[in-house]
Amino acid sequence: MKRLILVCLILLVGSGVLWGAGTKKRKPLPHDFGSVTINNHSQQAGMPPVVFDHWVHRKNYTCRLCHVDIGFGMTANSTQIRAVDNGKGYFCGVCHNGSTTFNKAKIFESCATSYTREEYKRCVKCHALEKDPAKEEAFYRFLDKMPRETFGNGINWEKAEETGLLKLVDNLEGVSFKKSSMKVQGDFALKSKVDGMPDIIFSHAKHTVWNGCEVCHPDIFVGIKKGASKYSMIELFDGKYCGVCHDKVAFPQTDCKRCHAKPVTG
Amino acid sequence: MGCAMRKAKRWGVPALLLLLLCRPAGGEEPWQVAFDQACSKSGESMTLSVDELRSLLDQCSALEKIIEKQEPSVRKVYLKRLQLCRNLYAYMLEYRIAAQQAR
Repeated sequence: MKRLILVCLILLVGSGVLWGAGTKKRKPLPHDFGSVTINNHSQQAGMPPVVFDHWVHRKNYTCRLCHVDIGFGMTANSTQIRAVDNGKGYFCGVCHNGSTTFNKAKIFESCATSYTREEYKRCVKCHALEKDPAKEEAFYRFLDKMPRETFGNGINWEKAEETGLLKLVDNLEGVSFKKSSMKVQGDFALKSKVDGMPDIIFSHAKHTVWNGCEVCHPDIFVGIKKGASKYSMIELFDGKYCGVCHDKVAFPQTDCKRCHAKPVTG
Repeated sequence: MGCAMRKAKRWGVPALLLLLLCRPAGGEEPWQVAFDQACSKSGESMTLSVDELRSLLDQCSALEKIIEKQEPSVRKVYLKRLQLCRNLYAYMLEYRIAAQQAR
């Protein structure tokens, strides 16, 4: 009898451990948060997949610039970028062309049809063979100068932009069209479904600084009437609606108070 | 309102065709200038009238046919960009019409 109980206990604990290991998502480290692996054509061409670090780019550019003006899709591998596209000056090649500069420094060229052993060092800047400790160190040096946040990659990007620590580029000569000033809808509250949980304060202004209009409407938020679309946290955690960006690049949805911010009255 | 809509419909697409015939000095293709003009209104889409939005949607449809004929890289980039601005205008148009009906 004792042996039977012991076997049952071992099976129970063992299956629990296996189940947990198989389903639990590993929380990314701060420097890895927002990294996207792109592997449409790389391996077919004998190259490792591209590991794209959002933090490197979002410290200088708005999301809108890349996802609207340059035309990158909102999900990994949806854009089907090819080396030939980059070589012609599209996608990564818009900036990574060997002649464009940022802060007076030349931005390295992206792809090449043929390359020497020496040039291969440039290829692996994006087609990452292994983790680059220099990049990791650069992240933590950057983090030191930024307002802190508990989750995600530990940076309060919103505050960094608001306080002028980040000066985001939203326009590229020859790529972006001339924009008129944007009329932005005011903030509004969305009712929380759980008693005691503060309502959500949604700020269009905070979002449009980074995204403009067309990143979110209508592809992510299709409803035209405020409150007509009902969102559940399950859908959000499943990567829909707010979850398209939050959890992946923008702060994680586990940081409840960032959205559920309306003071509870009464 | 009906008159403004007729005007927008009457002049929107011919203006686009005229633009396509004139090659600008900046090195851009005429259709790219037309694309910039059609999609640069996205930031102010909330302030556009039903007629203006319909005219922009007509311009986007005309541009789609031209972009479809470009080489693969150009086609991929510009069809994506056009889709984003056209969908936004269609979304705003739906919003405007719903608001008018609610009145």
